[in-house]
Amino acid sequence: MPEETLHAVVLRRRDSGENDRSLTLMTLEQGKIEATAKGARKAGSRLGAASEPLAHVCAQVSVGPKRRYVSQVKPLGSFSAVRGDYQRLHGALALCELYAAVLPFDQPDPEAYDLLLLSLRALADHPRPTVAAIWAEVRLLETAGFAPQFDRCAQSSGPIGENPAWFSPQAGGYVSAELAAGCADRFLVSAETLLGLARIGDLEEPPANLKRSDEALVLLHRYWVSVAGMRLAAHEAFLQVLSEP
Amino acid sequence: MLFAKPLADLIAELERLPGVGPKSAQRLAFHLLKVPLAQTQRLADAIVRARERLCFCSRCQNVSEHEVCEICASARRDEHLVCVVAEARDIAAIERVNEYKGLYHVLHGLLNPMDGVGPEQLRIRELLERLGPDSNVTEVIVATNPTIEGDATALYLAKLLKPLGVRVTRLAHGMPIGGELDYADAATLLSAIEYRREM
Repeated sequence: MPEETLHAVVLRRRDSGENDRSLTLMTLEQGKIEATAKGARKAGSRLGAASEPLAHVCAQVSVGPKRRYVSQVKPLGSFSAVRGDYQRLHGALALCELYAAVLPFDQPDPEAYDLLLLSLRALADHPRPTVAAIWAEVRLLETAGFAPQFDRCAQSSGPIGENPAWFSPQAGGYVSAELAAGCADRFLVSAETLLGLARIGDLEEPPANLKRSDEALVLLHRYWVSVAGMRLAAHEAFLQVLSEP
Repeated sequence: MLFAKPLADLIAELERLPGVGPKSAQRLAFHLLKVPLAQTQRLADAIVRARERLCFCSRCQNVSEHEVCEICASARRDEHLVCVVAEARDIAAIERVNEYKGLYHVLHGLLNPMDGVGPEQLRIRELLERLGPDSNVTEVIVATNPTIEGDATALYLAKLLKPLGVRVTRLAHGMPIGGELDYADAATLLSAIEYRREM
């Protein structure tokens, strides 16, 4: 079988067979792919630690007729600061879930890969993990081509004229009051939240703070569910964790 | 039909068991057809008896024949220590070591944010009830696997239990006894360095 060397972050793993793990990887070279780590669940397997979500690895991958198989791995990092903090861990898993849900398979996307690494580092280091998560999610929306209109009406292109303002995932973002009646999934958010989200997407790194970050994250969650067309359990769990005292 | 209906039914039931695929299920079914009837009867009886007679211990949630399991009922166990495990089978692994003399608590799973398993699906409420104002527990040892789910559960329990004034510790992870540095995978070695201890 031909082999390829891939730089990857493990987005998701599922048990398969007796001892194997089926992995969803975000790779630098091939974009999002699926691969099987044979024997990864056996005690002492060298693939065990490297097949955990958030593991950053350089992997030797054999390409079979139907599947890819991870044969060797060299760990490049595991974001231990993320794994050691309850909020950050949930933020990182929510981000991995979004990458796994919205990016297409086998489409090389080095920009998305670099953004994922940058985002996980930001989640590890930023004093406010919520702000880092919002920044990472807005940047992912832009990179993946799903960015909504935050500061202009998605239908008329007019600027935000009221507070609170309507937001409709299906319409593609903010909708002015006179056009909102036709959007069944509309909900109200503060104009400040929408303007903050519009600004944060232009930044190369997360800002120190973001006003109304809790509302911004709830808005993003509703938008992501609309984009992905499925329940996003890890993202839900992240919101739940942030709401706990 | 590939198999006679009773055999097909047996294969279908065996296939529902964890870790048993279609081929293993067929192999087991044909094996059961070959062994004496008395032996299959004993197996069937054992399964039914286990389901009928076993329950969960009202204190630690371990599998038990009585309302309170043998470990919780024993006067020889140290009631200041509680070791939290994900599954009842983990208790057997720790008991085999023959060193730990405290009590246990079985969560019956681990937090799994990616699969939507939250705290309310685990036996965490029962653990909190055990650690109420009248409790003698001074330390909770979180013995979850060093996986993402194990980490999430350990972090959640630490957040929940520390305000109660209980010492919360976690099993160490690093180099295996008898292992060689040269053969250790980098992630394990990294963990061993991170959690090194003073000598």
